[in-house]
Amino acid sequence: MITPVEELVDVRVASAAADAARATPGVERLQPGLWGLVQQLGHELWEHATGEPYPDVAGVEVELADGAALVDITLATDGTVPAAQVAAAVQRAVVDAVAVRAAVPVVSVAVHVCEIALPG
Amino acid sequence: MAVTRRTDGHLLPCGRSVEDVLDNLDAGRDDHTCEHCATARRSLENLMEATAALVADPSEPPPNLLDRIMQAVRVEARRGDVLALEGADHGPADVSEVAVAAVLRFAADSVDGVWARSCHITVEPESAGTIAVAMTLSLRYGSGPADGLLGEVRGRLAAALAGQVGLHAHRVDLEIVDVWPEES
Repeated sequence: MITPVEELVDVRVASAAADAARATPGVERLQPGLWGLVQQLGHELWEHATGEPYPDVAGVEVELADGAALVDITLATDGTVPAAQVAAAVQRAVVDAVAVRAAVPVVSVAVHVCEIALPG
Repeated sequence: MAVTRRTDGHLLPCGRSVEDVLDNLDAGRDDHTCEHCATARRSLENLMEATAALVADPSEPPPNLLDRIMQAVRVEARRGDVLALEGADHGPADVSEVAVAAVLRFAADSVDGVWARSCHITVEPESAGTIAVAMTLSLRYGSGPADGLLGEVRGRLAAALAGQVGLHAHRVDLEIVDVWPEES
């Protein structure tokens, strides 16, 4: 059972990771799978009901264990930078961003490139 | 020989589109023709159930809902086959095999008179970051000597792998399976 405090930390970590990944050169978008999409739609309903913004963390999964985070990111690259290079840059950016914004150490950042944009 | 291919929609690894699967699901037709179609169908059924409350409210449809569902279903269908990426220091990194195959087919198609028919990728277990590619091609008659065209294809594939993916192919097998007449 996740406590409200753990949920808050979870969202902060995911938000920092998502922002850092989106800002990395070569990343076109973060891409949720089905469960991520259901969560995203739920967040939109929550925003609609409360009028308060919810951070866009679709495509990012966070697991907290012993005060440290395991982050899992699925993304599409824009094809201008090799996917391997983008993945490594995203990992470095996420580790730094989560440490600064959420004050949580990151054990691992798994990056899955699901699509590479084709020219034209 | 008349050949067509669908370039719109959200293609599954088997070549059919998520839209086709959704059409058959809507029509109540059973189209479990392969594992990819079956996975997409199950995913669509689960998602339809989970989002029933949202889609039942026509006054506030979430933006681009259908496109977002299609993209999510396609990601689920691609999760199984991945290639490990080298150079990651803070955890594992991988790329969808289907995504890499799409990059390679596009690179081959960029050679005038060449059309990629299929692309099969295998991992070299002894050499990280290295793959083997087997591709079948159609050539347009009159486009030039086949060996020259195949050399051009090899160059484009190597450039695409290095520039867009970050992998290296130690072996590229190209097979010409069809020749189509020069367009008048």
